[in-house]
Amino acid sequence: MTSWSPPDLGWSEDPIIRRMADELRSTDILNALNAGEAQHVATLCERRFLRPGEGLFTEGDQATHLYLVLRGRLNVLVRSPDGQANVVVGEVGAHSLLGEMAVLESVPRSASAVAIDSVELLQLPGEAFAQLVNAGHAAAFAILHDLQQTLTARMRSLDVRVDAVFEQSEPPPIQPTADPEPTLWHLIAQQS
Amino acid sequence: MIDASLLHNIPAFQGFDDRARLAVSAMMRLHRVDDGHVLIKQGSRAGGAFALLRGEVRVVRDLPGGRSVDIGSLEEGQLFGLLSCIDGIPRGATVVARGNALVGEVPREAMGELLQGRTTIALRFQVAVCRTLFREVRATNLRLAELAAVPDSEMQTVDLEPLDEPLEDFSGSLEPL
Repeated sequence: MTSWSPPDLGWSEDPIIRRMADELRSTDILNALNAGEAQHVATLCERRFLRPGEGLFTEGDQATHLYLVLRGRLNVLVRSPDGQANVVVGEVGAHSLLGEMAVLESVPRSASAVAIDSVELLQLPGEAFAQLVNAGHAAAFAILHDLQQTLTARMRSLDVRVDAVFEQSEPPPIQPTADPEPTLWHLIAQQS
Repeated sequence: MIDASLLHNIPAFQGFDDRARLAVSAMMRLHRVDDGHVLIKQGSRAGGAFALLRGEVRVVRDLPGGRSVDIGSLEEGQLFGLLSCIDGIPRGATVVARGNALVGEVPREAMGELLQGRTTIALRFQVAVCRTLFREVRATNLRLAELAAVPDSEMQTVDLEPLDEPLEDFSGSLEPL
């Protein structure tokens, strides 16, 4: 007699995958996923640990993964204009996404990320995320929604900083940047 | 509704097929505006998001100190007015036509449907929105870095350790298929 196999919807008997799926669903970003959806995403993720002071990625690197922080905090840093120092521009804590912007556009990292304390995270390859988007997976909607909110808040914050600059001086107008090279967005589009 | 072919030159919609362009164009209103026409008023919550189809618009900010500054122009194909549709907070700047312009507006109600929707069209639109916001953030960050907006005295610096392993590079697989 042939035993029944679950349909290929990401449902898994693997306790490691099931644990990872539970961790995904414990975050605000992915808590709307059902068990099968979360387990599907979990099969695409790898767990990673960082020691305090250890780098996750470096400004200028090619972006390969996006990350979901489970535990611990990381500093986000950019090189100072003179290139002599790394300036902390933000901090990312548990249940936050990190590194998603550069993965989405397949452009080099615009900042570095370094563990402040012991960090545990899940990393999702950029190509796997493209597959989730192409499939209209619930995780893609959830990640895009979080990204919208994050980017909107970041733009609001930047507006305040731009105001401060303009209050102090008369800088030239902000110019739009050139269209980047072919990106992951193309891959998403082509597979639709 | 506007002519869907007008959306061909919107970079943020480059992943859209004809069906997606048609669906979004069906939600849009066309505005032909003259020089000086105010499309978005800083502090307002009115209106939706816009695509600049023809012409040029300029972005003006009223600073807390009372001064107004021209912070740049938008070119054909750019989306604008997204932030307030996403977070519901009043507009952060005024957008004014420079010369005659043709603009497509996605009304706020339709923006809500697209941003919250779970259809393929909505997903494509959400990707386009993230892409636009990402580029705005990156461009503004670059501009701020050029202006050295962070004074040395306010900088918190950290020494970076080298990574243990080189990062995988899959960029070669991301060429257009």
